[in-house]
Amino acid sequence: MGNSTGKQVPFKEGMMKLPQSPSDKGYMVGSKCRKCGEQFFIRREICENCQGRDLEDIALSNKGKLYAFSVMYYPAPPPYKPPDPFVPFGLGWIELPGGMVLYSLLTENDPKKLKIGMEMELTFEKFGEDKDGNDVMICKFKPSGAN
Amino acid sequence: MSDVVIAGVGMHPFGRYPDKDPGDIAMEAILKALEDANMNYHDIEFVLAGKVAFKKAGTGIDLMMKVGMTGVPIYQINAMCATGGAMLKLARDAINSGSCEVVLVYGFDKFKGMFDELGDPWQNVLGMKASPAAFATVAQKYMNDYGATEEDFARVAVKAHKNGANNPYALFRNIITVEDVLKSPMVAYPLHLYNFCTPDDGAAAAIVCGQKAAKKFNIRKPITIAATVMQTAQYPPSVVEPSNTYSVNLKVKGFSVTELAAKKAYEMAGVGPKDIDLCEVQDTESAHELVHIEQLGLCKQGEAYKLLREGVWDITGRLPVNPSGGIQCKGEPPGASGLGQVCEIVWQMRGQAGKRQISRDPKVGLCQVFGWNHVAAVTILKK
Repeated sequence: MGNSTGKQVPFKEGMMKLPQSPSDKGYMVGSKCRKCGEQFFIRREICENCQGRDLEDIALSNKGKLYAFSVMYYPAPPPYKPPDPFVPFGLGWIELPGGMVLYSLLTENDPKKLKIGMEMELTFEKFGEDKDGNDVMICKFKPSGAN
Repeated sequence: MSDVVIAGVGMHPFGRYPDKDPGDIAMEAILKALEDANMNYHDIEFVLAGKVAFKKAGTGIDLMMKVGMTGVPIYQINAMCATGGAMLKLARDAINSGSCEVVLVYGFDKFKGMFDELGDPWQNVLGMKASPAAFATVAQKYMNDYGATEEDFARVAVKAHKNGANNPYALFRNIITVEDVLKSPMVAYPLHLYNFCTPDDGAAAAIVCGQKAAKKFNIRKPITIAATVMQTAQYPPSVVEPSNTYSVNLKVKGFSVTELAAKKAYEMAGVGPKDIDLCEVQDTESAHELVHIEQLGLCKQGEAYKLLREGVWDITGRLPVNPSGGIQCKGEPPGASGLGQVCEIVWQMRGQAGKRQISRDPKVGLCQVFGWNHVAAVTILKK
């Protein structure tokens, strides 16, 4: 640590398109089956609906609505490495326009500030640094308008 | 297809036995079940052994060597928390196929702490598939959609402990109050520590046999397995069901594995939800007891918590649910928990449940288990 290159890399290859400029918001990458049209997060090789093998990458909406949520007050088991001291973290299902719901980490960890149906938007957060000093980025959803 | 019956059951109390060999725990349940069925191990033609958390290769075969070397096929089964129900289906199918007449089905497990391999590796690094949160998300949505409260989930735990206090096979046998539950630490919003089951050690066994064997061994009070269904995800899966799922399509209504299994089980048994006199359902935490009651069609969606307030699910109520105290009180050795439910229903149907014996005389009982990644099993028992 301490030798950060400032370059951002995705936590998992093919999972997200990181913003390339200040005006670029970036997006999460999904898959769409060319045969039946079904859409998925994350990228996959086989369509869960029709078992088709012909899927293409799609950009998922970076806005959605909170469908359901929870807040974990205890660390998850390893390989999760809790921060010291541990900070409770929010998790939830986000409903995207078009009907897909996806499971995501949330920036908010106060259940009083979370409400089903509220507008949420995608944000990228630094998770850590890789061995080359690049910033490893993960996706989270935050209440729209929140910092 | 002739009736397949449960000839005998046995359990080792669920709890924490750090100094006890898991094999000895399993053995106790197996020997009790054999004794209950008035059989010896040499009468067994086929063995199914369930374990989920306990990691040791070949334990099913290993263990049976201590009971006897009779050359019979022994298979080890893991269907997560649905293992017990999944094994009963195999046992019944094996008997119905004509390949054997008497099957020993047993499950056991050893406490391991919170499951650490549920999600995909990248999800686990981020803590995304911490199982309490996955279950709690369903609870939170249930509150939002139907108006249930944290107090209602606490009432489920209070009922469980009222029953569990009278169950010598349960880990927790203390009476608790709604306040106790709400004061216990929040684990995953909106669920508190006392809402959750805990993994522990234990074993349960059942001897399953066909009609010919039931006559030969003069089985008194046989309990018929009227239906056994094991169900995995059918696309699109139900939204927010605890699993590794990343995304779900809301445009097509998905059914929970419990709904799908129940529908098939009712058809197979020739009964409907109204015929069920008592049941044991998967209560990984308090909210899912209510969710599963509804998924089984035992009441309308969103009404289980209201009927709980009215006492319908009490042992003195119209349809007792988890008279054993459920895994909220027994703890959950996942390899054994499903058969633990079966033991309870069998004892209740025979009138052997002691202080927790339900008020009415049950004719039809149901067991439901649900496990991570969309897996469920539903068993219907008749006397």
